[in-house]
Amino acid sequence: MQNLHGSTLDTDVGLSDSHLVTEGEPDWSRLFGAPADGGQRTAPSYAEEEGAEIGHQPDLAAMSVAQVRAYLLGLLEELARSPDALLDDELHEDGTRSVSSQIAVALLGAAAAAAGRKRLVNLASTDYADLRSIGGLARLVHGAVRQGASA
Amino acid sequence: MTLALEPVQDIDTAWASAVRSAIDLPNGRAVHLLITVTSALPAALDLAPAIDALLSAKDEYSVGTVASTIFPVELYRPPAFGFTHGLAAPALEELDAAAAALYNAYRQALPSLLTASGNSMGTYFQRMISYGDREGGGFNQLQERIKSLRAMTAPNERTKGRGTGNFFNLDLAGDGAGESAGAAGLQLLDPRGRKERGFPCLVHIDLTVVDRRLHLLAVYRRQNLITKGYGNLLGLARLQAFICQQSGLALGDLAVLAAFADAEEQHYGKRAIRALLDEAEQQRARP
Repeated sequence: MQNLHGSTLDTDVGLSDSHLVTEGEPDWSRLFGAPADGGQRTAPSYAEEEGAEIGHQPDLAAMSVAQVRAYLLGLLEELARSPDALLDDELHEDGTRSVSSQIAVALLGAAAAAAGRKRLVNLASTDYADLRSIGGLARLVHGAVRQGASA
Repeated sequence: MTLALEPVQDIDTAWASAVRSAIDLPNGRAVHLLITVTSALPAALDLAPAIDALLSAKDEYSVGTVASTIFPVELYRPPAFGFTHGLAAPALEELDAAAAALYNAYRQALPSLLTASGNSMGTYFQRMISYGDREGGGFNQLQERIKSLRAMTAPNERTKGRGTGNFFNLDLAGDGAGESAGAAGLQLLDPRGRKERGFPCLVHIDLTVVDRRLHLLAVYRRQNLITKGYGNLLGLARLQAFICQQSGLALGDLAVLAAFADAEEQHYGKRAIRALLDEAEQQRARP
């Protein structure tokens, strides 16, 4: 029996409970709660190896809030399992995409790495409302980077 | 009173059964509560919105947030296939890259994450992938366990492709410092610690493989069944699925043993909890 990748399958490996199995391979997207029509990628499009930085290394300190927002949207695409799954049906009240707190913190981490900093914000003193949207995050990142640059 | 619940097939039923059993006990509290789910995912997740409504009314973290402390599913892009021995190199690279990206994204987030209220002692997933260093530079237990599980089923002279392994005894030495690389359990509580309360409630995860099926047992000192119970089950189920996909093993049972389980009557009110259980019952009855 051959699998999709050309290797010989050991018939016992990878089999799962019958309702999860499609021709011997579980529906991994469904297992992780991804939408049925998406969420899986067919080829690596980001960090190829552990330790690789996610995204590019832009000069965040030179960016406007709008540019930071665009940068974060790019990071979101690279970072997120399935961008559609992360967003509410409607935009956040500030007019930008809504994000979950999990993704918000991941974006802050990636932006901090891009800025060469360990962290950009202290969440304990952050208005959590700013973590709900790309717009809020952009304002946080922009302010933190500018503050760091002028310090 | 020890409560070993009947194994059920999904986490929705398991959670409702656990709460229903506990709430019938004095003060809604049980000792040695054992929950077993025979096919942990996919959960219907029908109950999440109703539970979230109750949690939100009390300003508690949502089901998704609780689940993400155990497995941050939104940072993982699952390839469409799982590990098998003999997997073509590009596919294997893709599988490994998906795991590496998850670890890396979470490590990058850790310095920020630790500044959030309640996270100063670290997070569960941090302890799995960076034991000994809350800011991301520690030992990756999860990666090591996946390596061990892959090696266990390798069709070579040494292993002969065996698909059964119980690493529980080794797990007693699993201090997370990398000295027990063969241990399959994930140790989440420092055995040298003397603390009497607080994080972590989840102290141990055992991984036992029988006939190439991965069974996961999570041991909690304490489990707050409403505030955390459903999210914990969801996070553990996703963790189990991740390990299975990355190691090529089939999903086995997911069991949760709580030394002390609390239905949290005082916090949420017995009436609200029973209403939630009624809602669960109705949802299960729907076609």
